[in-house]
Amino acid sequence: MADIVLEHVRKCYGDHEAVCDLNLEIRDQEFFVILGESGAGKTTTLKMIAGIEPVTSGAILLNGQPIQNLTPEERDCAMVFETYALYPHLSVYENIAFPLRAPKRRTTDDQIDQAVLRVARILGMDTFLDRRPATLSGGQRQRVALGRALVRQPAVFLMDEPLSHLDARLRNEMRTEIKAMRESFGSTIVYVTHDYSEALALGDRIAIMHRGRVEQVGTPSQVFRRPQNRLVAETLGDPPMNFLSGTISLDQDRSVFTNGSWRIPLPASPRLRRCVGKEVCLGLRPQHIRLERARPDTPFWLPSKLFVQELLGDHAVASVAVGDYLFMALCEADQAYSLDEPLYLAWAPEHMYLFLEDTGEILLAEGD
Amino acid sequence: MMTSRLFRRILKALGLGAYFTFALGPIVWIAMMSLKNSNDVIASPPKFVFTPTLENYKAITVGLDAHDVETARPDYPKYFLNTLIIASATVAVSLLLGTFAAYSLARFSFRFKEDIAFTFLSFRFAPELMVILPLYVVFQKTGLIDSFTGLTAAYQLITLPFLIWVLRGFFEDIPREIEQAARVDGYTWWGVFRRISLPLVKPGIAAVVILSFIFAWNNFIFAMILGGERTQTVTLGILGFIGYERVLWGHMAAATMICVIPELILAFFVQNYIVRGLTFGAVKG
Repeated sequence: MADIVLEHVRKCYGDHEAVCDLNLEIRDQEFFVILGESGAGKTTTLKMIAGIEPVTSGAILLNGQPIQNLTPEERDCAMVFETYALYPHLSVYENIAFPLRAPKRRTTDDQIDQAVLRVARILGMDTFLDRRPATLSGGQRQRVALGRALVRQPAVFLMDEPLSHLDARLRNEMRTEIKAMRESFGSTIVYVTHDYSEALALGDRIAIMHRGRVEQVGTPSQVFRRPQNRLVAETLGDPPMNFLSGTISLDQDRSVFTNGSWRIPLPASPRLRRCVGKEVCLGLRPQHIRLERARPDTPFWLPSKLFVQELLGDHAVASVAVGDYLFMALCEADQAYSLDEPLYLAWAPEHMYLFLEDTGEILLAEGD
Repeated sequence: MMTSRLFRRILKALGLGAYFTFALGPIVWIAMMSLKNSNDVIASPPKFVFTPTLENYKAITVGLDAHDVETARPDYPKYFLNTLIIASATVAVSLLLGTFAAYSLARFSFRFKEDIAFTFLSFRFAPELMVILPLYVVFQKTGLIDSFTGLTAAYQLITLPFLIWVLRGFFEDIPREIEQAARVDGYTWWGVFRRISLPLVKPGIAAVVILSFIFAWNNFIFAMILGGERTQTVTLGILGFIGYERVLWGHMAAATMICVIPELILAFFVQNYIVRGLTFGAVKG
């Protein structure tokens, strides 16, 4: 049982504000992911929950009790570090047993033995128990780090990019394993990552952080389909969303997106009508773009020229030049275009996003 | 190709040979001297072929002369024991104080931290002679002259700064996250220090213990000025063989050889530890 509340939490390093006015509510038994680029303050947030970094101001509540002034050992957290932080002078067995050997836990050797073996079996590490961390591969070290957290039943699991140092195949494997192991955690999990696909795959809810601020909190489909601003939309998706700047104008009583001679009709909405004359940018996800040789019979297209086409196995990414902009589009692997070939970049109207240019605030989301 | 490789190997052998002669030559010479009888030792030109004898060793340890006749009880064993006591006590005190000082300097931030660290270091580059006169006055007034406590305290000037600076580096090399992980795992500051930090700097401790011991063992000036008959050390004892009417070269050489033994034993046992890199593999490698 553990819910965590962060209230107006700030963290400064000298003049630099690493985390500014952070408010988060993490529910009991939730898999909560904090997503953001490096330097966004994700790890700092996690370390403040763990008690490794003191908060500059604000409160952290665990089950309603303020814990921001407790030392790390007084809080009931287990943490998996990005660097694993294994104890190099101890065997795998002793590394996993270490939390249980803490004097305050008063665990007998028999209980420790049982707990370590149980965890080692879950992680498939039972044949490596005598080894030192230095002799293990990256994936094995990662498992030991997980095991050290799993061996006790803490109120909260904190995971700081546990998969970021693994190679792509192992990362996907471990991601599946973490997802499958959720029941064995049986606690609230706060998981930090910079990989949006990891966040979408694992999280019950995701908080997107940028420069010490939370931009949006929501379920994976909420943040992916209905981002609150351009930043969130940019963070989620690979290749990232394409943007085209322009203005909203009125054409025969309908709002229209205009860039030079390009005019794209927008759905009728009172909100968009209020923004007539404002600088905006149009967002399109690469997977929603079709490249066509014949001119589409809808008004939702832009003229483009093929710039580069990269084959990625079962599909390809085409970079096309739209005026001065470079757009990325997903296309079929066997669809070969020639360089500089004129193409119609088309999309379905329901897949359009529209953001305010200055604040990044969303005006139109998918399905609106 | 072949010739240049051969040339380099010859050059390497020559260089190493020169170094070995330079480093080991004096020791071999002393070892030979210690095994010569009183006539061979002063022979000119020096003799390289001679009948080895243990008479010098016998004379300074158990007090038997060349004809196994008992002479006055030699002082050398007492000097040896004195040095052993002083050097061991010095290292023990330094280790106790220095480990904590080094850890604090490596991990905690406090006011004037770097100034304090620098002050420690400055004891090392100030010549011993600079402090010896004031120390002499202080020791005389407080009655610490010619006492084991006094010499152990004075020797801290040699060993403590060195120990602090070396161990500080070792503590700083421990990734902070390892200690943080241990805190999160439920250990207090003291628990982390004892269970994680200290074991991880074991190679560093082994290295500084042996080097501090050697520094203390070999010290001459403090022992000469602040010591006395009661606390005479081997370094001074060896000097004592230069008598008024003659120099007992053979005894001196034997005393020197015996004096080297503890250092050799220590170095032999801890050389495995003097390998850094125990922390390898702790953090993603």
